[in-house]
Amino acid sequence: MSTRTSTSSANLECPVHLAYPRGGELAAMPDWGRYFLNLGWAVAKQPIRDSYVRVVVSVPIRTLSSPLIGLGLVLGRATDGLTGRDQAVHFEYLCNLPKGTKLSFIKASDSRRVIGVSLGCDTIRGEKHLSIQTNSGVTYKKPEHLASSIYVAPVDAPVTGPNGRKMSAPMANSLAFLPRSLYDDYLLLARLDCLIVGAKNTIYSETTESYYSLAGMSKCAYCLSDLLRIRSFQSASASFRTDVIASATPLDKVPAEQPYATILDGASAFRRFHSRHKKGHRVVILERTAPRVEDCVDIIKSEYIQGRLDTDVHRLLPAPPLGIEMLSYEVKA
Amino acid sequence: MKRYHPILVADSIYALTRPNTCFYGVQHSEFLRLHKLVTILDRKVRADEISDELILQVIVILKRFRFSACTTTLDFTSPYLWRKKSLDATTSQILLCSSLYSSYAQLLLDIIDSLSNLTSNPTNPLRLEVKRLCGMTGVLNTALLLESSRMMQVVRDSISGNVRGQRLEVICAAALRDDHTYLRLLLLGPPRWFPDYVFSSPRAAELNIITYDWLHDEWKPNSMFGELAGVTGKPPGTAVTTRYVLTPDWTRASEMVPATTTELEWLVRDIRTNSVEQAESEVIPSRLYVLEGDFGVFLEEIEELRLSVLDLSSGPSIEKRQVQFIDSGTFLVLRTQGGGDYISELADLLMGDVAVTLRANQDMWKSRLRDLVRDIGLEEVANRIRRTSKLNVQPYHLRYWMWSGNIGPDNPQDFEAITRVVGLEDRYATLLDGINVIRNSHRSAGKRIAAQLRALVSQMSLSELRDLINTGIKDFTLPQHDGGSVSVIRVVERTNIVEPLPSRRARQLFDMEGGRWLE
Repeated sequence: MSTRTSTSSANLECPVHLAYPRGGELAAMPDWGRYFLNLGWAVAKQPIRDSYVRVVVSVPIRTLSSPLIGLGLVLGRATDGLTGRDQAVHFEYLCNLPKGTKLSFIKASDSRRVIGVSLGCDTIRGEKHLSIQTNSGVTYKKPEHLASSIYVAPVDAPVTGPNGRKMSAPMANSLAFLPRSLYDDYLLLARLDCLIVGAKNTIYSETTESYYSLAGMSKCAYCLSDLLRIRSFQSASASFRTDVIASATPLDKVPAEQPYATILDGASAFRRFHSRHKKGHRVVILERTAPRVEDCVDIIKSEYIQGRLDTDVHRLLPAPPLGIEMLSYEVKA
Repeated sequence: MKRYHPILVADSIYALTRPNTCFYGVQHSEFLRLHKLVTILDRKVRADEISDELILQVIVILKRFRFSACTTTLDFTSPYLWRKKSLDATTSQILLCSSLYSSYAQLLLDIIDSLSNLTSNPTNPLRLEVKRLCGMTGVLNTALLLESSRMMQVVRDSISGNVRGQRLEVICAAALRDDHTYLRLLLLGPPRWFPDYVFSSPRAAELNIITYDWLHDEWKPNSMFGELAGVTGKPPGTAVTTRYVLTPDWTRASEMVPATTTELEWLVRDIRTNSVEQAESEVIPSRLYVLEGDFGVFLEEIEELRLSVLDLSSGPSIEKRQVQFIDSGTFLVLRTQGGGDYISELADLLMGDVAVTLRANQDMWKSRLRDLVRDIGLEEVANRIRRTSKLNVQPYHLRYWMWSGNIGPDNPQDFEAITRVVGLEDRYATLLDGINVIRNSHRSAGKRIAAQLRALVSQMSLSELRDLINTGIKDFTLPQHDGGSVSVIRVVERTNIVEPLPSRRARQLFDMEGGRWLE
């Protein structure tokens, strides 16, 4: 068995601490909630090179599991800058913005940041370019490799979450672990770090529930969706890190981008999507009460026996608390 | 249904990972005698490889009775335990068998004797034990868990008003899939007769197992993933063993479960017998779904078919779901009075006088297409259309378009190709207009009914929703449509039985006990 360099225990701990109202006071996230956050965080820290991580958790109830794992994942990934593959996603997001959207970009001539409006995309010599026109009437053509310096303007305006909610102070505190440059990137650049497949309505109501920052004991609430930045739950011009699709989504309507990790939330999501989005890490959540959950376990066992690499990835993941079982392994990329 | 912060809801369930489990054994000497006699008869008939349905039926009825008596609080003479055939009719059939099979005569007469003794001492000790336990501690936030929903109502009636004026909830395992929790669950029957999640994802701090003391069973926390090396974490649940007394009379709980396959096969045969239709009626492969309340329904195996379901995941809402995603636990919306397709009926009302002509036109091109398919085959019709129109029409498209539940192809070019191949090209424009009118009326009808249903569902109180989750069935009367009522019924099992059935029988409920259609 090959042993990967041991990750320090600090790396297994998601630095964000959420609190929720309980009996008139704020309570810290219970063990199972911390576990899900840390699991997402730890998966985000596994590089995608020769192998993909597969994690299956069996739970008594799926409530909040995918949003919390997703949150750990996107926060864990937030410390990484945009790679070439990520730039393509951000560029596509910019190209799909409504024409007239205000964009902030860097002028090549004097490296100054200026504001312009999107005119949509053109193809120049076979390469797609984003056209941005400034107030002075000059149009700039920006290719994909410059995408990471372009975002929806104005930069200093409060970044909003679902339903136009303003970014609150506790939420900003939650991201305090990020260096300033990555903090901006996190809020402004689009990248599909996490795709959640499951009961969309349920996930929506779970991610729009109020949470608080335990550290500040502030009464100012925010919701998981503000941090997850879920594409399908916010306006088209908002940058995203997560997307949520329903288990019954027609296969031709599934996002084409390969996310860094996919969370299959529930037996029906697993049955329908286990053969898709294979080129990335994957976390499967199985409720023990779900109908035909045994069918899913059979498929998982078969993949484990046939495709598992001889590694000890479970050492790099947090140990589950009482009530949760976890199967983890790696498959060849 | 959202009442609390989701963390609180989930936390209350994680806190139940290791419940207290207790076993309460009951005795009834005559019932034990009958159980032993039935077991001997069953083994003997199997050993002799007898295939005569007369005696096989007797065994199925007796085993079903024995199982039902172990899973309910009903007295042994209750007609609900003898629904397949009354106790008297069963006794007569046993007598007949004893005259036909001399080698079994004494055994069969002993069974009759035992049944007769049971009628003189019919009290089911399971009910007494339930009453005793409830009398000791009350029934606050306590539920009686039954093996199936089949007899939930009669069990509820049999124990009502017995416990300090408080109402003991009666539920089946499907009610334990959501986030509702109890202080205590009283389980009627050994662990094996309930889904594993009752023990591995408990929804109560205390599980009391009440069963006959000769039924041996045990449940241990097991990993969902078996012995795989990559598993971490302890399997949830608390081990439990049933059986007080080490006597030679004990029986494994697994041996007592009636073989539902045989019963389903007989049921399908009865359904077939009861489905004598006109020769020209359209036949569609349809899958059997077992529903709560001992109902069944066949749903067309057509990928494009989308049916109304009630989604309770984030507050009750009506949505359309493809038939392939309808599985155990899904709440189906079905018409229970006035026939199967309520949208067609309302659409006809909306179309007014022209409905008859338009439906006749629709029937005409569909029946011509069906005739052609019958004559030269699906593949050849598809080939002809491809040759003449260069459209990529596949046999499965044709099968869908021929089906009476489909209005017609979405693409006018496809429809033009069909009219050409069935010799109706001169009427293409008229027929296409008809399709569009029918489709628009169906949309309007669907919207109206969905809106009415949504309004009814949104008015449901929390206790009504809880009741729906517990019982798995609820009737609604549509206020602005005189076509009867619709029922929301939970799917218990999506079976592997797919039968070619007349299309008018699809989505029509039937009684699982008797195999009779509910007209």
